[in-house]
Amino acid sequence: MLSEKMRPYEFMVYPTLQTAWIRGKGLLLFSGLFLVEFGAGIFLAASILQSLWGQAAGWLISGALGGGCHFLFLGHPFRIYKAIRRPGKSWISRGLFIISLFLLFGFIHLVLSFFSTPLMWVTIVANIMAVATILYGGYEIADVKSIQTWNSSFFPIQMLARSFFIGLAIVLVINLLFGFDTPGIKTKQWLIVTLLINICLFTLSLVSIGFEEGKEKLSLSMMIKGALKSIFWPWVITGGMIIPLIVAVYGFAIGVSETGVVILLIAVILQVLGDLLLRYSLIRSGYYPGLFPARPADYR
Amino acid sequence: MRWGMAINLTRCVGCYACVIACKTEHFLPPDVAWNRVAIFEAEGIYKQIYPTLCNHCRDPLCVEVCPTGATEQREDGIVWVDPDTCIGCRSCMMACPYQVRVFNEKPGEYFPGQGLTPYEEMREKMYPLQLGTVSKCNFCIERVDKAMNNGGKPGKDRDVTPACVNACPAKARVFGDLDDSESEVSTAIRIGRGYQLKPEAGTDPCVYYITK
Repeated sequence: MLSEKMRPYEFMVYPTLQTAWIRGKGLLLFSGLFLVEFGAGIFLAASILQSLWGQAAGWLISGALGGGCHFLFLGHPFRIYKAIRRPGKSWISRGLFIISLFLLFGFIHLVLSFFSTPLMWVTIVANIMAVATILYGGYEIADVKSIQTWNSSFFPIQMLARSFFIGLAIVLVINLLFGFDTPGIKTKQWLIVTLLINICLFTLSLVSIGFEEGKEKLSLSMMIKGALKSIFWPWVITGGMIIPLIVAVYGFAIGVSETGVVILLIAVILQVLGDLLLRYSLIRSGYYPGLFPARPADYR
Repeated sequence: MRWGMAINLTRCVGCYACVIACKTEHFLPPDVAWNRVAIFEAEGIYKQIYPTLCNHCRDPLCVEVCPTGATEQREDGIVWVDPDTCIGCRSCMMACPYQVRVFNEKPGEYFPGQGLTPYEEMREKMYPLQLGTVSKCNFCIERVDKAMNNGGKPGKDRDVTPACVNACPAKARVFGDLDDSESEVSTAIRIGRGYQLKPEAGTDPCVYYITK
C-alpha cells in the first residue's frame, strides 16, 4: 500500500491510503467522531445507572469536545450553518442536526435533573438523541462507499455497542473509585462482565474488518504487521483485550468482591485506550483500491 | 446535452502537456493537480499510461454527500464546486472513488523562498483558489460557457474546448457531447469500444478510455 508521500504519477496505481480524515487537520475529525460517540455512550450508560455526573460528563465530552473538534476540522467553520440544507442526503448535515438536538435536550435534561425536576419526555428524547449521535458517527464512516473496509452496515451498530459498553465501564469504575451509589446492581460484577463484553466486541470488530475486506486484507495486515503494528499489538490487543481478560479471570478466581478497584481502573483505562486506537487503526488503514484495470507488474 | 471526454491510450505519449495546460489555465499552485498522468508497468505490458481527471460522473457520489450543496451537477453534466458554499468538510474527497479532488491549503511557491512569480500573482486576480475549500477539474467550465454565449462548439473550436484537449500533441483527447451519437467523442467511444474506470463504483463516468 502506498504511503501518503506518493508521487503524482503513481497516485491511485496501487491501493492508496485515505488521508483527508486522519492526517493534519483530519485528525480533528477522527477525534471529533471518537469523542461524540464516546461521550454519548457515557451519557447513555449514566442514564441507565441514574448517574447525573456521568450524564454531565458524557454531554460535555460529546457536545463540547466532540462537536468542537468537528467545528475546528472544517475548512470554513463559520459557514457551518450552510450544512443544514441537505439532511436528507448528507451524513455531515444529519450529524449537525443530531448533535445540536442532543446538546439541546441533554442540556435541558441536565438542568431539570440538577433541580430534581426531570421531565420523562425530555429524558427520553435526550437518550434517543444520544443513540442517534453514536449512530451518526458510525454512519458517517460507513457511508464512504469507496473504502471497502468501512462500507459496512454492521459498522454503526458495532459503534453503538462499543460506545455504550465503554461508557458503562467508565461510569461503573468511577462510581467504584469515588464510592458513588449505583442503585440495584453489584458494581464490581457488572464491571467485570462489561470488560468481557468489550473484549468480545473488539474481537467482533477485527473479524468484521477481515470480512469486509475480501481476499487481500490490506487493512488488517497493515495493523498486524505493517505501519500500525506498534499500536495494534501493545495497545489494542494487549491493553484492550488481554490485560482486561486477565483482570476479569483474576477477579472471578479470587472472588469478584475482593478485586482491587485500582486494578479494575487500570483495566478500564487500557480498554478505553484500546478502543480509541482500534478506531484510529481502522480509520488510518482505510484505503482506496487501485484505479486502473491493469495491475502493475510489481503489485503484491 | 452531456459533456464527456474520450482518451485514446494508444495515442497518449505521457508528455504531461495536459497536466501543464490545466495548471496554466487555472493558475494552479505547484502542489495541486486537477489532471494527473499515472504511469506504470503492467504484467505483459511494457508501459501503461493513464491520464486521469474528474470523471464528471452521471451519478456522482461527491454531489450526494455534500452537506451544503456546494458540489453541484449542471444539466450538461459538468460537476463543479462552488467555493463560496463549500465548508471544507472533505466528504466529497472521501466519497470520490477516483480521488481527483484536492483540498486547497496554503499554496506552495514555484520558487520557494524567492517570492511569487508574476504568474502566481495573477492567480489571485484571475482564478483565486479559496483556502479551506475543495477544488477539482471542471472541464474548463468558463470555456464551455463561452461556447453557449457565442455559439462555438466545444471539442471543435479551440477557444471553447478544455485546455487539456487543446494541449495534447498526440490528439489523444476528444471532447464533446455524449448525447449526440454523431459527435466525434461518441463516435470515438463507439468505434474504440471505450471503457470507464472503475465501473463497479456505479457512478457512470463521462470520461472514457480507448485502447484501439
